[in-house]
Amino acid sequence: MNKHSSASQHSRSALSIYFYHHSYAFRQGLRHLSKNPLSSLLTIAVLSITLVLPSGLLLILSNGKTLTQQMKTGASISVYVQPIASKAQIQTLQTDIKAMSDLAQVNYVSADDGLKMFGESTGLSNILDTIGKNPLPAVFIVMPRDQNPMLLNKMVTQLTALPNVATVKLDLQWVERLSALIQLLQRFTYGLAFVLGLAVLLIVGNTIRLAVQHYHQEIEVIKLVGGTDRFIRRPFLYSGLLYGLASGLFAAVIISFFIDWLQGPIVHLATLYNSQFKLQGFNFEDVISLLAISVTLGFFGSWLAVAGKLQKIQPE
Amino acid sequence: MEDGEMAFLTGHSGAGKSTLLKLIGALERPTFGQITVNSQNLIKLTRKEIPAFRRNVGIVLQNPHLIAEQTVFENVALPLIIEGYQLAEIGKRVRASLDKVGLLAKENCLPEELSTGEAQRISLARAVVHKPLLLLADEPTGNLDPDLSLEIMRLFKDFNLVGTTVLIATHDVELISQFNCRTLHIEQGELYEGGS
Repeated sequence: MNKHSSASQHSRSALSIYFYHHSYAFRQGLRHLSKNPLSSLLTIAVLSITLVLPSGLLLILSNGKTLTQQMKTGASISVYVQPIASKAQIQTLQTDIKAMSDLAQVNYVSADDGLKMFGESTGLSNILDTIGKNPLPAVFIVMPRDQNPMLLNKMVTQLTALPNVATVKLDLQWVERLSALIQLLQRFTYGLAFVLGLAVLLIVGNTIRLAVQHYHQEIEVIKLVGGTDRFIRRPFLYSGLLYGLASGLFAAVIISFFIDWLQGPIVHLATLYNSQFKLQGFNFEDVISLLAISVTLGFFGSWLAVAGKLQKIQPE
Repeated sequence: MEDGEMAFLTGHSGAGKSTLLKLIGALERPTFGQITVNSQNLIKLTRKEIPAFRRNVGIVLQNPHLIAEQTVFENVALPLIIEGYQLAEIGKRVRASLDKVGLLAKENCLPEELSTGEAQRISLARAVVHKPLLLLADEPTGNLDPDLSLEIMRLFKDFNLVGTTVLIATHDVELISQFNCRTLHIEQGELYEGGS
């Protein structure tokens, strides 16, 4: 027996067939989604919410890191002078501090100036006048050249050793605590992202598994007329990929709205602390990363669902 | 069977007619022995080679096996899409095939809009659209009344007349008698020349 007509005469090149089959598979994948629009939308909504949680938390943590970085840059060391120190001793102390190699700047706030500033910032000037004796010590505000924690600790030790110094306080402790807390939350978020990523994989996998069952008869027909497993698999992979893409986009939109919604109160809060801090939303690269992750999860979820299933389906 | 021949395969229910056709169409794998189609020993086909073999065979089953969500045109076009035919060629061949089975007017219908006989004719149109080497049919008239059965068999004969090798499994001896074709009878695992 010889084939009556050469298929190659009317068919395309291997590369052209490859792209043609992909375009056909994409349309079929889209058809699978549009066949049950409500069900598809619900799946996309669930996937989006699953993606919003870790990516939103990571974005907030990234903003938190920026904030602590900004605060660390402005870190200073407060050197409280002994109240009994004379003006000459204070002068000597200032000279000693200025002689330190890792110093960027030093400001002196006398006890009187300190009281005045405290009165102005709290509005308690009248009450402070009634106390009679100034309870505040003179302070040197030392700005280090570098924010390296080791250097800062070394400077604290050196300053503490200077004569007429009562206490040295590094105004960075709370920032470091916040930074440690952010690191802890970051690790927690990575764990959460892993678990929720797994959830996305399973949700897509289950959705595609149901689709394979739904299209069981169609798969049989395609096999009957000579369709390969690859040809049959592709539309399901495109469906998974489209679920991932749509949910990634939707998640990015939800997070953007959320950031906009929080921006007002955050800016107000920052202003109260004399800060220019603003929440940074997703930039282009972040959106691309989120989409790449969601598309990959959708693709592999559907791959896992289809792998092995098609071999078992044979035309009856 | 010789190239371009048309034959009927008869036998009682459970005699193995469908199994034999499925073996020839590579829908089932033999546990032993040899099946040679177009100089190809099917037992040696790997799982990946089976689809390519099936693309040279047209198969019509008792159930038309149409995709419910696709139009008649899309159903018939499927073997050509798999083979990667140009869109213009697909349109030409599908319409020619539908015309041959007399259902060109139904190209935009969904399978649910067709009668049983029409669905079987569409199934036949799909089986021959890519001009296969061999056309296999398993009880293609099993669900049809005598008039429709005769009509379908005539279509098979028409395709045979243009050179397609046709093997039809049926137990409808009366229908077979209306065609002057070779008959093979299967009984207790043995194949005999001539009807029972």
